[in-house]
Amino acid sequence: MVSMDNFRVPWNAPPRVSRRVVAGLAAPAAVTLLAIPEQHPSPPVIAVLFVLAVVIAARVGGAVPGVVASLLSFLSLNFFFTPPFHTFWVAAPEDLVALFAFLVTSVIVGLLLSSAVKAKSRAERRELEARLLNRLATRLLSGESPEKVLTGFAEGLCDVFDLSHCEISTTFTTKTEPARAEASGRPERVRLSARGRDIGEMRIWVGARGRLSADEQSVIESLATQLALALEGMRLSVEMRRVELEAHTSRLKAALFSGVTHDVKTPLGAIMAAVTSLIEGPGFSEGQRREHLDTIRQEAERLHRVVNNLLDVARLRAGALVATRVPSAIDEVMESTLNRLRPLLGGREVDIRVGDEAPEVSIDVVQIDQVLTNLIENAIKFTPPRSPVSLVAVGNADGVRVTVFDRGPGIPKEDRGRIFEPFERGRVSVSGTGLGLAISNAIVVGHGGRMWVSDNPLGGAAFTFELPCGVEPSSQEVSDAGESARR
Amino acid sequence: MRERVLVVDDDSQMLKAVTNALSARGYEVLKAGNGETALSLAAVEDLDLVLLDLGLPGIEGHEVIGRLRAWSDLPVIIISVRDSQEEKVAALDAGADDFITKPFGMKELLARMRAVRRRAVDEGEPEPVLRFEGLEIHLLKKLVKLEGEPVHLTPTEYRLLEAMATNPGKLLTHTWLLQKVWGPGYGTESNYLRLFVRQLRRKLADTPSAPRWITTEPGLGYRWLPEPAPDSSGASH
Repeated sequence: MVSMDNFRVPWNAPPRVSRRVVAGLAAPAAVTLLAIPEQHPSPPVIAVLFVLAVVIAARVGGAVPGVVASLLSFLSLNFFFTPPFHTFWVAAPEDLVALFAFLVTSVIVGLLLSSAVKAKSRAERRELEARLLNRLATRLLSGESPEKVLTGFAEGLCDVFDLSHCEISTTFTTKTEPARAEASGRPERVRLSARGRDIGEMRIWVGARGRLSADEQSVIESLATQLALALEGMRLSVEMRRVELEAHTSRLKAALFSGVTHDVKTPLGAIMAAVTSLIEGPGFSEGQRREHLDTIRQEAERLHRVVNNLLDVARLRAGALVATRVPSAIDEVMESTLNRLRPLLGGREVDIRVGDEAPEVSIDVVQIDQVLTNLIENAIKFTPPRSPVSLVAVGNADGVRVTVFDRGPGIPKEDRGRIFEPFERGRVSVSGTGLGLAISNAIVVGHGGRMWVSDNPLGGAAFTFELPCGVEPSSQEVSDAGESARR
Repeated sequence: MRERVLVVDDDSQMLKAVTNALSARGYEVLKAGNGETALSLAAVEDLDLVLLDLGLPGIEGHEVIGRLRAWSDLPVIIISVRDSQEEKVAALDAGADDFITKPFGMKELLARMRAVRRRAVDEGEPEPVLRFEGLEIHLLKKLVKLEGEPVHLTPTEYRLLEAMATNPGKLLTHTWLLQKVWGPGYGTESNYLRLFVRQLRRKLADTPSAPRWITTEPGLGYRWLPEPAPDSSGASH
C-alpha cells in the first residue's frame, strides 16, 4: 500500500547470490530429471524444455545463471538425450549441429531476457527513487519536523535496499534516536552536500546481505545528492520565513516605538519646559506660575495614562492580564471613572444613564475602569470641544451593555474592524499610540464579552461593549455535559 | 505638638519629595528605606502615622504591616504603584488603613492622612452634631438637614449616613459598612448596600459622577468625601 505519508514502497529487491546459483543449476537439472524416465524422448521436445529452463534461470537469476543454465542444458542434452547415450560423444554430425545451434540460441535468449529484466528493474528503481524524493520534498515542506521526516526517509531506504540500519544526520537537525536496533559493524558513509556546502551525512549498515552492489551504491549516492538539495531547500525556506517574520516584527516595533516615543516625549517635553522655565525664568506673576504648574500636573497625568496603557500591552504580551473578578455594579464603575476623569472634561457635558435592570456583573473593576477611561478619553480627544458625550448602560438577565456616544465625525465603516488592532488610529491624526482600543478590546474579550463600534443615531460614533453576568456559564455547561456523559 | 510620620520607601527621590511636602505642612518626618529599618523605628519612636511602600527590598510591605499589627494599631497608609484590586484588598486585609496608588497628588495624600488620624484620635464619643458645608447631622436627635431643610431618611438610611459621616475621608469597605449598619451577620451583601447608598445619594442630592458627599471606590467600598467644617471638629481636639 503506497500512501503519501509513508516512505514504504513496494520494490523487487535485486536477487541474492543463493537465488542466482539455485536458478542457474536447478532449472536445467529439473528438466533433465523430468525427461530421463521417458522411454523414447523426442529430442525437439526436450530441446524446447531446456530453452524454457534457460528462460526461467535468466528471468529469476539474471545473465550469469542464464549462461550457466545454457551450458548445463547443452551438456545434459548431449549426455542423456543424444545418441550414443551417456557419453559426450556425438555420432551423427547433424546432431552436433543441432546441439551447438541450441547452445548459441539459448545463450542469446538468456542474455536478452536478463538484460530486459535488468532494464525493467532499473526503470522501476528510478521511479521508486523519484517517488521517495518527491515524498521527501513534500514532507520536508509540510512543516513536519525535519528529524521525523529524515527518520521516515531512512526507514524507507532500509526497506528499499534491504539494509539493516540507516541514519541521516545534518548540521541543522538534532540527532535522532535510531529507529531500529543499532546495527553492528562499520557503516558506509555517504556525504550530503548541496552547493558546495557540507550539510551532513548518511550512514548505512548493510547487515547480513554483505556489500552494496556498484549499482545500488550509485543509486544511493544519487538519492543522497537529491536529499541534500531538498534539505537545503527546506533550510532556506525556514530561514526565509524567519527573516520575513523578523521584518514584520521590526515593522510593528518601529510603529510602536514611534508612537511610544511621541506619547512619552510630548508630555515630558511640556513638563521639562514648564519646570526649567520656573527654575531659570525671571519673576513670574502668580497667575503665570500657576499656569506652569497646571501644565506640569496635567502632562504628568497624561504620561501616567500612557504608561498604564503600555503596561497593559506588556501584561497582555506576557499573558499576565488576568482579570480578578468580583460582582460589581457597572454604574458605580462608570461614575467613579467619570469622576476621576473630570479634570479632562473641560466644561464638556458628559451624562450617565443607567437602565433599572442593570444587574451585577462579575468584573475586574480596575480593568473595566481602564476600558471606560480609554473610551471616554477617545471621545474627548476625537470630537469637537464642548460637544456632549453620553454613557449609557442597559442590562438584562444575561449581562450589561455599555455604550459611549459621542457627537464627533464618527468612524467610517471600512475602518471599524481595524481600529481594534494595535497601532491603528482611524484616519484622524491625533496623538495617541493607538493602543487604547486594542487593550480595551482585549480586556472585554478576556471578560467573555465583545466590543464594537457603530453610528450614533444623532451623529457621531457609538462604542459599545457587552459583559456577560454570572461566572463563566460556558465552563458550567461543559461540566454539566461531563456529568451527564458519565451517568 | 507636631505629628510624627514615618515614610517608608526605597526610592530616594520619592522619599525626598514626600518628606519635603510633609515637613512644609508642619509634620515631623522620619525616613526608612527598607522594611527592617521601618519596623525598628516603629518600635522605638513615638509615631502617629506610617506611609508604607509595598515593594521594599528585604521584608516586603505586606509583611511589614503584618509584623507591625502584631503589637501596634498605628495607622498605616499604603503608597504603592501596584493598582490592582487584588493588591488593594490584600493590603487592607493585612491591616492597612488606606491605600493610595502612585502617582498621587499631595492634596489627596494629606486628606487621607487627616482621615486616618481623625479616626485614630476619635474612637471615643462622637460629636453631638456633625456639620459639613450645607449638611448638618444631629446625632442625638437623629436629624439631618440639607441646606437648612430637613431630609427624611429611613432608619437604615440614617444608620448608613451616620456610619459614613462619622468617618470622613476614610475608605469604608463593603464588609465594614454592612456589619456596622446591618449587624455582624452581614458582610457579603454588597448589592443590598449599593441600593441603600443609591437612595441616600438621591435624598442628599448627590451626583455620583461629580460627588459632593459620597465617592465610590469600585469593588472596594465608599468614602465620605467632605471634611467636617472647622467649628464642629475643633471642640474635642
